[in-house]
Parts: sequence; structure tokens; C-alpha cells
Amino acid sequence: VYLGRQLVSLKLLLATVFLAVTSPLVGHLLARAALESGHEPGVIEGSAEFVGLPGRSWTTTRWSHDRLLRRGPDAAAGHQRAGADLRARPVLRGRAAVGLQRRAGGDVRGDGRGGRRVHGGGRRHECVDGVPDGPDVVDRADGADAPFGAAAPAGVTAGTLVLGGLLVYGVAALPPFGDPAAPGMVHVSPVYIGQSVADMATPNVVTAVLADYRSFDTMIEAAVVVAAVLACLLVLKHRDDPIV
Amino acid sequence: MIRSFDSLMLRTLLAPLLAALQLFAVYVLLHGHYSPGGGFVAGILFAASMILPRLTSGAPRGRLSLSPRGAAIMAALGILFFAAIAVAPMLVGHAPLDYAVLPIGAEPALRRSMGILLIEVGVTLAVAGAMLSIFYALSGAIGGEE
Repeated sequence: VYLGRQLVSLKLLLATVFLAVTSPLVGHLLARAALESGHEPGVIEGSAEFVGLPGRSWTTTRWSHDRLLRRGPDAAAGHQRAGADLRARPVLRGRAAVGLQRRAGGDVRGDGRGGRRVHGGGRRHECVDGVPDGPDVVDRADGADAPFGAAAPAGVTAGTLVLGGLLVYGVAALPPFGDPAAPGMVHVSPVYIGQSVADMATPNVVTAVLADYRSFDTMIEAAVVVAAVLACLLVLKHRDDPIV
Repeated sequence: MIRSFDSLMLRTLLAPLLAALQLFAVYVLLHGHYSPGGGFVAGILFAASMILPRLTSGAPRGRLSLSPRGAAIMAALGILFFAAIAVAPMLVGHAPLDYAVLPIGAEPALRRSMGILLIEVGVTLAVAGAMLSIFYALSGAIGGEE
């Protein structure tokens, strides 16, 4: 088994697996953090459901309220009777949440609609909570849950400027674009252009480079595409997503 | 929300269009060695041939179709296929992605040529599955409502 000098191949493959697993997760977590901070996803029509965040799970959108109203005043009133203000309560799952919602009375600040869909022993549930004129995220347990505090924007800006300045500074040392004396043109391109047919019977040099000389890069590229799509699925999934 | 709609033009032209799209996808995939093309482009064309009928309500029956779950699985399988071809040479003591040691041709150059084709197939599956998944996610098919 070939593992490369100092196990380079093995390390690269392990890094690939790690990235393939983590990048959708990180994308999902970033989106969830943004939602918790009060940024509504603009593309989702309907309510977002996030299970497992104690105390701050009930989010809403204007759309769900409008949809509720379109079903008629009776439905809206019925939902208002059944609706409970769960905003300050911890998240319960499945039947417990619905029972709590049914029992709780008073303090109905809006038209609440408690629905549920229980799968596999009550692992999932859903609650669409339409609030006409309240804030979109209404269950902030405390106001000071910004993860990095107020210093974050200044620090991020400064860090971005420093890193960007370093990159711009580094560009000055690069050879001019298209320079025939650049190392890539002198040492790499002639081999690719001259050897591709003999090496792999492929007249299209672009394909030869893409799929053979630098096929490891292509593999990671394709993996990145799929990872990004998985992140999209996790972020955009609605309620009864059969995939995840 | 992406909704399907009915259109006489689309309905009439869809069947030949889909056939042409899929044939062209295979051509682009196989002809990537000699002309611009390859797995990424073929994957996009392949996905387009499956997305288009979902946009019209009068789509021809018997067409190729995939569920949202199937699309995600196809994307993952494409990457897995690619990775398997990458790892296979390592098992017999060569560098990863060294197609010359794979038993798929008479001489090293031809074996590498076939290896390129194989990984392009993996890329095609991955890209097509990815594009389909994006379509399903944005069209709400995953949410299962409207």
C-alpha cells in the first residue's frame, strides 16, 4: 500500500473526509446562529423549525401568519384559542409540547397555531407561530447572547484589513499575468502541453490537466460542490425533510 | 416558490428536447478527451434534463426522474466513485489517482485515458445530483408543501 512520503497521501485523504463531514455542518450551524441572532432567511417561505435549542425554538415568519389568515377567520380564531404563548418556555418535543400548548392559556399575543408532526416516537414536531406585529424571533431568553460581544465587529474588521493588506502586498511579488518567464510557464506548462498525448492519449490538454495531472484537485472540487449542496439542504429544509 | 406550468410549446418540444439533452450530456462526457467538455458540463446537462420536465405539468411519462433523496444519494455516490478510483492504485503500492496501474486498458496511456473517463463519470453523477438537490431545495419539494 502506497501512503506517500511521511504519509502525505493518507493525511490528505483524511483531511478530505474531515472537510466533507464538517463543511455542511458548519454551514448549517452558521445559518442557525444567524437565525438566532434575528436574521430571517429570506428564501424560506414558511416557518423554520429548529428542534433542540432550549428556550429559543419558536420562530415565525409573516408568511405563516398570512397563510393562516387566508384559511378563514374561523380557522384563525380557533388557532388563537388553542394557541399558547410558549415563547418563554423551554422547548419540548412531540406530544409534550402540544399538550403544554393546549393547556396553557392567556397571554396570547398573536395568532398562534400549534401543529405537530410526530415521527418515530415523537422525535420531531412542528409549531408554526404567527405573530402579526411582534418581532420575528420572540423568544430571546436574554438580550446579551451575542457570542463574541460588542468587540466582534471591530476585531473582524481589523483582522480582515490586516489579512487583505498582506494578500495585496503579496500580489506585488507575483510575476505579471501572462509573463512567459514565470515559473509556471517555464517549468510546468511545457510538460503538460508536450506530454499529455504521450502520457494519457488525450489531445485535450485541459482535460488532461483537470482529470489526470491535477485530478486530486478535481476530486476535492467535486467534493466541495456536494458539500455545499448538503449545506444548502440542511439550511433550506422545511419540516418533514426525508433526507436528513 | 417554483411552480410547474403548462405550455403547449414546452409540452410538445419536451420529449425531443429531453432526449437531445441526455444524448448531448453523454456526448460531452465521452468527448471531453478531445473537445471542451467533461464531467462538470455533462452533469449540468444531465440535471437540466431532469429539472425541465418538473417545470411543466404536461411532462411526458416514462422520463428519467429522481426523488430528492435519490438526487442527494447520487451526488454522494459520484464522489464515492471518484474517491474509490483515487484510492485503488494505493492498494497496489502506487500513488493515488495513478490510473496507469488500473486494469482498464492495454498500455499505460490508454489506461490513463480510461481512468480520466471513469473519474469524469463520478464527477457527472456528483454534479447532476448536486444540481438536482439545489433545485429540489429551492422549489420546496423537500419541504413537501406546495
